[in-house]
Amino acid sequence: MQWSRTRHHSCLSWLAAACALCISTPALAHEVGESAGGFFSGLSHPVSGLDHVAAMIAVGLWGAQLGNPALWILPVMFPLVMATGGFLGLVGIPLPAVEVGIALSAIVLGLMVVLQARPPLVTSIAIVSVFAVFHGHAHGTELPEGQNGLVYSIGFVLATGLLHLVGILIGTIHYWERGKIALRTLGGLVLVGGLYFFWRAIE
Amino acid sequence: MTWRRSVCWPGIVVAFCFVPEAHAHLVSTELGPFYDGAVHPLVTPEDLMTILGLSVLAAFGGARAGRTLLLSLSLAWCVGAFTAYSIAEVDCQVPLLTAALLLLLGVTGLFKASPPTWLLGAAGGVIGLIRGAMNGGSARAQDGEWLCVVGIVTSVFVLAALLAGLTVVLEQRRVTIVLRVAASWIAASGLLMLGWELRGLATAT
Repeated sequence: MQWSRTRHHSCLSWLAAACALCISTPALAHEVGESAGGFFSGLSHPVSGLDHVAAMIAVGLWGAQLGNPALWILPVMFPLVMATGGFLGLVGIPLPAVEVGIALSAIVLGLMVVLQARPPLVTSIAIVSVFAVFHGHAHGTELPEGQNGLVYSIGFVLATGLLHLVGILIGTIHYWERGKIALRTLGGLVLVGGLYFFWRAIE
Repeated sequence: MTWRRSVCWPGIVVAFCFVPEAHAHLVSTELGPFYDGAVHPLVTPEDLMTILGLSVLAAFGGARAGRTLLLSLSLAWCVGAFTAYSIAEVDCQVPLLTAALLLLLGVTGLFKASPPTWLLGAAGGVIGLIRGAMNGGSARAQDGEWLCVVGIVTSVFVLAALLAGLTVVLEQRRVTIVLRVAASWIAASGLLMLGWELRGLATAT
């Protein structure tokens, strides 16, 4: 009874929110248009490079493989540390060999998935955090000017989080015996991709 | 308790020092001034994210903290909006303060550092007063009717009630992970926005 009442209230809440959003559709003032543009621009930025996508999905894959609490700690830490890297890039603090660092992230994370590595939690957080700084810095220096900073940032962080979620969802195949092999194969693909990106970075 | 206060307040005070000008336009829904105002907080990410960040903190304090936040935030927003609408044209935004505030709220929520209920109520009051004053001031500056301010305040109350209710329920059902992820994303957005604004300042100077 309690559950159904709560669900009923929850449904009503979402319905009200949906109605409110629908009401806002006639609002075609240019400010809203610019905000929407900034949001989608931010949303598309993290998926614009295959090296970023591979590494971020690999974080989710590895998190799923490690299970609790790494499953949620890694994706929670990654956007925040990546934003720190982005902050450094935005305020003009240089970071050496960013592209090499990004390629190395795909190599190391792919390798972790292939080997089903289970280092201590602190070590896995440290590995993910170090590489997140490189990814964030690269994005920070590339962010376009002239858009709403917060709207762009929300889109950007949302896309990063969703990529992790994709990785985690794919990583759930780990619970099946054949899935474990498939997951390690995916890790191998990320590793190979990382080697290619590394070769391109030092070329 | 003391260290939390000592960490939080200097951050807020420093953020208050940076107040560059920008414009916050009300959108036209063509449904009348009340709806123009009601839509404003829904399409203003600064307002939405602030309310969400406070709601996440309230969730860690339980239903009582949620009710306190709802009351203090909505009342203060109402007082700030109508006071500013009555006395001054304040057509400005405070992006650095907003960014620092989001970062602070996000990091606090990420580490599940639940502030005491009275502190949350006070923070909701101060934040509501400031954001309400900005909303009311910009409504006046753009020749908005008083119904527009009523719309803003009503919308803020509904938003705060929905978000605080949702987050408190999530925490009670032990879905803390969702709240911490939300806090992490709020903090990351705030940090990026802070860098963005600082870059803008550096470019301008």
